[in-house]
Amino acid sequence: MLLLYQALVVAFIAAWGKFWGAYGSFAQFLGGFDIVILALLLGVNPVQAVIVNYTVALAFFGVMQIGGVLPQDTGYGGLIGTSIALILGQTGAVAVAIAVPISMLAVIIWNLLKFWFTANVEVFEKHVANRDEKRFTRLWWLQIAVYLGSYAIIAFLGILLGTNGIKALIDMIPPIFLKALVVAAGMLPAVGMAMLLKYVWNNSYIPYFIAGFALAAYLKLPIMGVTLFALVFGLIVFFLDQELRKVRVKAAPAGGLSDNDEEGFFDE
Amino acid sequence: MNEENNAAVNVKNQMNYTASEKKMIKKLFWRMMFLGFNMSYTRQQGVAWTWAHRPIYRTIYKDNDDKYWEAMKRNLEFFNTTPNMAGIVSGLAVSMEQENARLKEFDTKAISGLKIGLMGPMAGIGDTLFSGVLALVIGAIALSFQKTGNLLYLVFGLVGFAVNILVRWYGLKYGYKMGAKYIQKAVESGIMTMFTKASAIVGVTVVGGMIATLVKVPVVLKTKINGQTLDLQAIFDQIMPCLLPLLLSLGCFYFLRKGTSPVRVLLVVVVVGFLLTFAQITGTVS
Repeated sequence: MLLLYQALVVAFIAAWGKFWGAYGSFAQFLGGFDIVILALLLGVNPVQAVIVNYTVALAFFGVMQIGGVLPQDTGYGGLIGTSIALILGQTGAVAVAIAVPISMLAVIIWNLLKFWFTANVEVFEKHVANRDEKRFTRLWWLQIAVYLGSYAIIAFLGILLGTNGIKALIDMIPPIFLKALVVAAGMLPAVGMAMLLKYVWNNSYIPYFIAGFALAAYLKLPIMGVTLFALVFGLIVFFLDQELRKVRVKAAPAGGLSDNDEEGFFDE
Repeated sequence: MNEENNAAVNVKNQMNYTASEKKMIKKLFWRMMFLGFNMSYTRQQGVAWTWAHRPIYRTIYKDNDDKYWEAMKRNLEFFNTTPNMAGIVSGLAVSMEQENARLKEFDTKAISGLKIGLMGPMAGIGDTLFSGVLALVIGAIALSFQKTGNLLYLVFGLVGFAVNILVRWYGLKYGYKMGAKYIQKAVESGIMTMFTKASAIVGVTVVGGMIATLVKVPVVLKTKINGQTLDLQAIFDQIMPCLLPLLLSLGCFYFLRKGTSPVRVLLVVVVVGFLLTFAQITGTVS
């Protein structure tokens, strides 16, 4: 009976998290509240839940969605992993061990859903061609319902049918395995950092990268301190670029660069 | 430069909103929250855009049913940007739709052109600002609080949330009044690029710092050579503190840049972590 209730709670939070993830991208900054709500509904101390979730949040840190491409559904994986760890009274390392495969599985669910949405584009077009507002809106809400429902049902079944199996598995595994999990979880932020780097990288940014690393590694600055220096670098470059642009605009007519884009713009 | 200043003054003078305009912007603000739903491979946010704007188009083309359905059909086209940044594009596009309703000879290609032209730069700024900088910095600070179970960590997210809401609201509001020409100019003049570049530099610096603070490769191997204890971690620290986290991150970065899928890189990191621990090279520091 208890497991049934727990499965319902996780299913609800799964759909809840998916909704706020898409709605206004709210979950990007407020996703942490989901864990507190989850803990309260499961009857777990929120502080404990937050600590368990910390390991997951750290392991997935920096893995982000770019241009609608989702490498891993870290939100869903993290939520299910944290839920099962909380239900079984396990540590963050166990949460990560569950979160990693679930985050990959969830991408498959998303791709299937997106296939269906893609097929439906034609139907939306048909409704517009038929000037049928009602069916257009109905299909829109149906898609959202199926979207949220899919994640809720999978979470529900996963908790209901999987928890006991996972418990047996955890009881079976040797301590060295758990130790390795903790180590791997500590190494995983490297992947997120690399993804972020890849996204913002430009070879001319190497000095800033080294500076940021050195400030933290040698001067032991906390992240807030590094961020302030980062802001200083960003502002300096911004103002320098601004000066450069002014000079370029002024120099353009004298230099006779008649094909200069900026000149054309300012001569308008 | 004068022209630019004049344009700024003009924009300020135009910033009066009628009651119906205010109502429309408010409605659009709420409906644009749904832009992240129901993405498809072929149109991405195209259907969501049309759904969000439907009642607005209804009002704009209230006298012309043909034009209304033409707008519905036209706006189903491909659209994709950072949802938080879409307000600016939406405000501009709506003001152009109004022109289209008012004028007989209006080329609707201009609206499509505007949407296609702006979604790229907006995504560039939006992804860098929100994912590359705000989520990164706020997340890192929040993590240091979350580590000890301090529930205060939730508060930091509110800062990013506030920026999200402000960009959505004022983007829509000013986008609507500023006029396509002005924003187009801002994009072309390079101010947007300068802003993106500055944000990227903030991001790169912070990532450098976070590699040193967040990534952990704890080496516990200690061997005895000639009666002397050899502490491998101490040797690494002597070469450079956080040497292994740096090498690991750069290694991941190298493979990601080479085009290896992120999932594969992640799995390799997990396997390496396991192997090193089984070999008793790494472990948990108590």
